[in-house]
Amino acid sequence: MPFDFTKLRQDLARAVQRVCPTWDAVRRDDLVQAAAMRVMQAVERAPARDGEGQTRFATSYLYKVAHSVLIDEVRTLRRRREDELPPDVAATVAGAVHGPERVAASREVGRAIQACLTRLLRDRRLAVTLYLQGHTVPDAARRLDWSAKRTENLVYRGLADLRDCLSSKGIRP
Amino acid sequence: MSLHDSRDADLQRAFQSLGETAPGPCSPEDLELVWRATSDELPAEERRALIDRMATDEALAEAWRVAAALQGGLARDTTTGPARAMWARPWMLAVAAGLVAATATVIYQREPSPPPDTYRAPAAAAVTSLIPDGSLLPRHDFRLQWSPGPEGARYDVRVTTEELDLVAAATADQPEVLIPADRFDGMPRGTPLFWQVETVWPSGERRASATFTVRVE
Repeated sequence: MPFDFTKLRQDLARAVQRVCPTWDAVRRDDLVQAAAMRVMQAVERAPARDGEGQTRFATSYLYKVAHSVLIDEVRTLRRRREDELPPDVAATVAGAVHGPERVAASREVGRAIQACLTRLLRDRRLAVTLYLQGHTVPDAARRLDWSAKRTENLVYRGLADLRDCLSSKGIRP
Repeated sequence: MSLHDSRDADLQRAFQSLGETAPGPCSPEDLELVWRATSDELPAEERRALIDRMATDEALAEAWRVAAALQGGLARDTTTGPARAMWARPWMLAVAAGLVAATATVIYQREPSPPPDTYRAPAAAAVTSLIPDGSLLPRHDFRLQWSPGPEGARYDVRVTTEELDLVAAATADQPEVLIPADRFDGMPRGTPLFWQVETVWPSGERRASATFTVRVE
């Protein structure tokens, strides 16, 4: 069965939305297009198994390639933005949508979160890290191979510890 | 305090925003680990170890988010079927297969399995690599090895670059293949390569393995 590039583009778009939520729609579309093109070109270059033009690659294999391609494209576009714009203008652009103070404050909080995570008990840290990554509690439980109830308790207590730690640093997100 | 507190979104946003300022990219080895972890191919303790690293490694965390999003799309792919049930995780199936061979009696599973059939590919996982992911292999002795399939099986092996340029394709009747050194001409040391094994059962049924990663010395 031919590979469904339309679906791949949709899934790439979802992934880009998760990773680059502050980027405007045009830049996100450019990123999706660049990543999809690289995967498409790679598939077209590869010879078919039986000469009938059907791709030989399993979908999972191509999605794995798409993963590394997308990571690479995100970094390339970020580097290009840093190289093309003077620092003060880049900061202005970054803050244009979300406000420069909010961008800087968010990153400061992010660094503090990382520091506080290192002080949590390991199991709480694992559960909270997945929660901060956007996973639901049931999904986090599955990925950690723990019960849903245990994971929920760990996230609950871990977030409480995290907020206490942030408060001690003068941060109240 | 309850979960799904409105402040949670602020914490999530702040944590995830660090990806914008990651000092460097993930290594190919880490990208491989992330992909395998998000597709449930890593054993649980290795997944947890990777998640532990994510807490303070923003590049790793970002790679995870991308992988999780793409894996979600893959799970929704109607051509591959629904997301694999928990029992179908490869390492769990390897344990189950071992129990079948040892006792041939009752096996606890979350889902019913088809009746055993020596001629058809079982619901067990495809072959697994015997080479640790990301290993550096000598170009003059580039030997790929994997766990054996059933008697009478043959193996179709494909090796590609990350851009899916074909490096080598081979058919073997043993779980091992030696890739000629001239296939790596012009490749810098450390070039990552993908490889995959498709096991062909005596019945003709095919089962593809996961995608593995090695590097050429």
